[in-house]
Amino acid sequence: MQERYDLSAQRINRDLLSFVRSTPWWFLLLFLLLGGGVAAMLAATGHMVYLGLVVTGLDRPVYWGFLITNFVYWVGMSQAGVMMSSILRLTQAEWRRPITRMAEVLTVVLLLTASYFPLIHTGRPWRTLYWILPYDFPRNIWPNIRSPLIWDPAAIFTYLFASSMIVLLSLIPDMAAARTRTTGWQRHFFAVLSFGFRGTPRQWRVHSLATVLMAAMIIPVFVTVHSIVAWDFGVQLVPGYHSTVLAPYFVIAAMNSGVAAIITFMVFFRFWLRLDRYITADHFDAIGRLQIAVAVTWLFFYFLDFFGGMVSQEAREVAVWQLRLTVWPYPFMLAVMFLTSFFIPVPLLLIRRVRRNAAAILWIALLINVGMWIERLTVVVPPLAYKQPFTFVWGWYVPTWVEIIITLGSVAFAGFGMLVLAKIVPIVPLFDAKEGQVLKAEIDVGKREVPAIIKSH
Amino acid sequence: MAELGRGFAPQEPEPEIRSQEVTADVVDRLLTTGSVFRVWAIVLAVLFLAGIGSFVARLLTTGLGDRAGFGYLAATFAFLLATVQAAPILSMGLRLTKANWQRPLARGSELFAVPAILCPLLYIPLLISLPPIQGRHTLWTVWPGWVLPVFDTIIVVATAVFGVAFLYLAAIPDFAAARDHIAGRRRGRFALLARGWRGTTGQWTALRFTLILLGAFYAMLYAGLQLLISYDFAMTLVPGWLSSIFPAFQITTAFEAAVAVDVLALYIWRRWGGLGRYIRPDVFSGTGGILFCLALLSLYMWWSAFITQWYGRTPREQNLLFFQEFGVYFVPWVIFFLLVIVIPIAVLLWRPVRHSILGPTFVSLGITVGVFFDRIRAYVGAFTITDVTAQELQQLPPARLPDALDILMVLGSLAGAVLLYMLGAKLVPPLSIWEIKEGLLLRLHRPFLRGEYSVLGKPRSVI
Repeated sequence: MQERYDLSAQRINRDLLSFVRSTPWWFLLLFLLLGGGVAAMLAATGHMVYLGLVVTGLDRPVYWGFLITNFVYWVGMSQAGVMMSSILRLTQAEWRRPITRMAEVLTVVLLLTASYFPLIHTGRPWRTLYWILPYDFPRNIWPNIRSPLIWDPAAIFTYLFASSMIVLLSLIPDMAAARTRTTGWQRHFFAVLSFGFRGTPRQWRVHSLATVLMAAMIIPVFVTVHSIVAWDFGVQLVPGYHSTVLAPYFVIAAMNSGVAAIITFMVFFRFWLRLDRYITADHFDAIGRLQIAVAVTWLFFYFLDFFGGMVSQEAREVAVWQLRLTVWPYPFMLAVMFLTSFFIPVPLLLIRRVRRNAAAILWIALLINVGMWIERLTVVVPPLAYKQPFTFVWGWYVPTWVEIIITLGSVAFAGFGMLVLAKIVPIVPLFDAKEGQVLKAEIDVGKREVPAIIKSH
Repeated sequence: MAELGRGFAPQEPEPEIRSQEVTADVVDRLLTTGSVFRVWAIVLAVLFLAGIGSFVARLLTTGLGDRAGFGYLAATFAFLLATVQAAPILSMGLRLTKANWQRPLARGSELFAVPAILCPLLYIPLLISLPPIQGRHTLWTVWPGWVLPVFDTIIVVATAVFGVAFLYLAAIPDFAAARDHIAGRRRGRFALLARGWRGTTGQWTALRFTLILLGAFYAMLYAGLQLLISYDFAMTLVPGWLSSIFPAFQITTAFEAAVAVDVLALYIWRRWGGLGRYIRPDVFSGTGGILFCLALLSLYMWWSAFITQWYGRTPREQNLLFFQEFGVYFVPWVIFFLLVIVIPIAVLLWRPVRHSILGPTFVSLGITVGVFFDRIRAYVGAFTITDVTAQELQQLPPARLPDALDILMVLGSLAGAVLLYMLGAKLVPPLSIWEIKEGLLLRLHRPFLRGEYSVLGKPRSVI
């Protein structure tokens, strides 16, 4: 890290807790704006539940549309949060410090957003309860654990639970700091979440160990979660879905959109919470490089999937790719996807000045987010929409206003969740920021002073 | 196993190394040739010649028309692609992370570009033995027949050439250091290679910039190479083998094997090459962690393919699984699975082993062997198929066991690769002198109470 500021512990406390302790005007404005979006989503969902899935554009043979696309998109995006936080923690990357909390909270919020979609996609959400309990054991009806649809909720809820644990764990020292600096209900709230943390050497040791262990254990969980989502598609014999590369492809695509989502929120919080001294151009530089690496790998996997389909020369596989490449609006969507997910962002991110510019990298991240949503749609819909044998009623999927409002509402929900959680807990970890200050050093090399970090020997 | 316990990084006192000593230590090694080196070079050269002889014998007895006779050569070619051709990427990747421990590793991995020049040579007979693309599944569906050999040849040759270029570029400052260190007749060779390097700020900036660009280009070229070779020399020869993940799986296991051969080379340099002062235990701990991650990634790639095919359960997929994993080539598959996935994960999970010297070294030895067996499973299997135009694999050919000529060809190719590495290390300093010196500048030990702590400098990247 090159751009460094000397910050005292008091200043860090003051800066990072200020949003938790006071309510600026823009918070109320954003709260109402995003809350309105969430209300619209709930209203559209209510309308859909009342009248049934007939109000959506789903029609034979396309039974997976915007709702499942949103599910895949949000699950994927959520994955990058904890992934980044845990990998950066394990590799002891210095630039992780202001990002980890944001990334972890993002995971929890986006997982909640994602789990909304399969629920409402059932048409009658209250009946999903019967899917879990009671099982008709007297008639020997058991859950089919070989079904990917059983793996899905198991994986997602494990991931949600583990991610929440990581958030809570990393919050403990900060909650203890907030406990002594607040009054009234906030003090009690923070006291509960600090779990009696007093900052003794033993408590710090246990906390560090637990954080590292959780970071290591969550990695297989997040890979599994999105792989399982991929296998919902991949283990079927549907051409276009039945591809061995689908799981890693989903994972890398998720990382592409997830890293972009973290950049989006980094810029947002840096601007609104005035965190310029904590989230610096160096952090954008580092995450921009990561975005380049992930985007290139994503493109490689995309072509692996494409080549896999074409080499087979099976009529059905070729038909799906033909649909994607030649039938309106899919070629247009593919063109927009490639432009926004790779061909515009990557060349721009290769320029250091662009990478280090918060406004520029925000626009790039937003482009990638849009592109990756389109990518999810082109993965989900065309394999169902191509004209296959024995499909005598052949509809065409066109989303209705209900699906569009729910989709836009989910974006509002994600923003709303992040905003509210950032109001409740400090979005940049205080203890990490302080540790970063303690561990920074300089080395004299000739006439130059090189930034350095202290490592235990 | 005594070294296993002693191998923890903090337990071995770090030697005081002065910057001036580094050049002398490394360059002097280029100028002397011991008897052990000569004996090994002769043995390897004899094996290499025997390999060439057996290749000629195979040509004369069966000709290139019998593809099965070259299955083991194809497996060796794929193995060399996975190890020596992939190794330079490690140097590039670790340089980008600015990790201090990787400095002794960089040149060792770049040096593998020298044996990688064998790959284009092994590729030529394999290319000639390929069946025409007409009537069979191929990546080149809508292209004329000549495109496959042209594209494949370009990428095989380009990867080898750019690997050597990458090595040369990274070694220029070291050639200059050798030029300035050596007096007499031998100086001229290094002066020529150093190409007027003076170490100006402009030269350093240009070098770092070019190394990153060339490294990134090489990595992408390598991914393309693995993609084409996996399709053209393995997958499309087996009717019904439609696994889009296969090239990615090959790349993952190749990276694992590349790190493994790097670790083996480092161990040899440390143990018998007299470079123990520079190749510290932290290099082995760092690579141990990378091997663990890559083993997990290989497991993930294999599992992704397996579960999709197992759930698909079509006759085509069942035949393929039986042919490659659970039936015909069961033994090579088990060896691969144990040595490349199970043992590295199980062993390197244990922190004391991961942070030792012998732990990662033994695991690396296993991985290198395991990846070779994986290539046997994939490439020998593919080369034994006679009817490559069928839609599905109906009749499973029996496993082809190596005959004497196969064994000699394999041994000869591997011996040639080792020999080229040894000769390369006599021309190019086996340690990156400038990076070791830079590491000495950027690392300080400062006292703290009764102990001390390290301060690591992190200079700004040029890109």
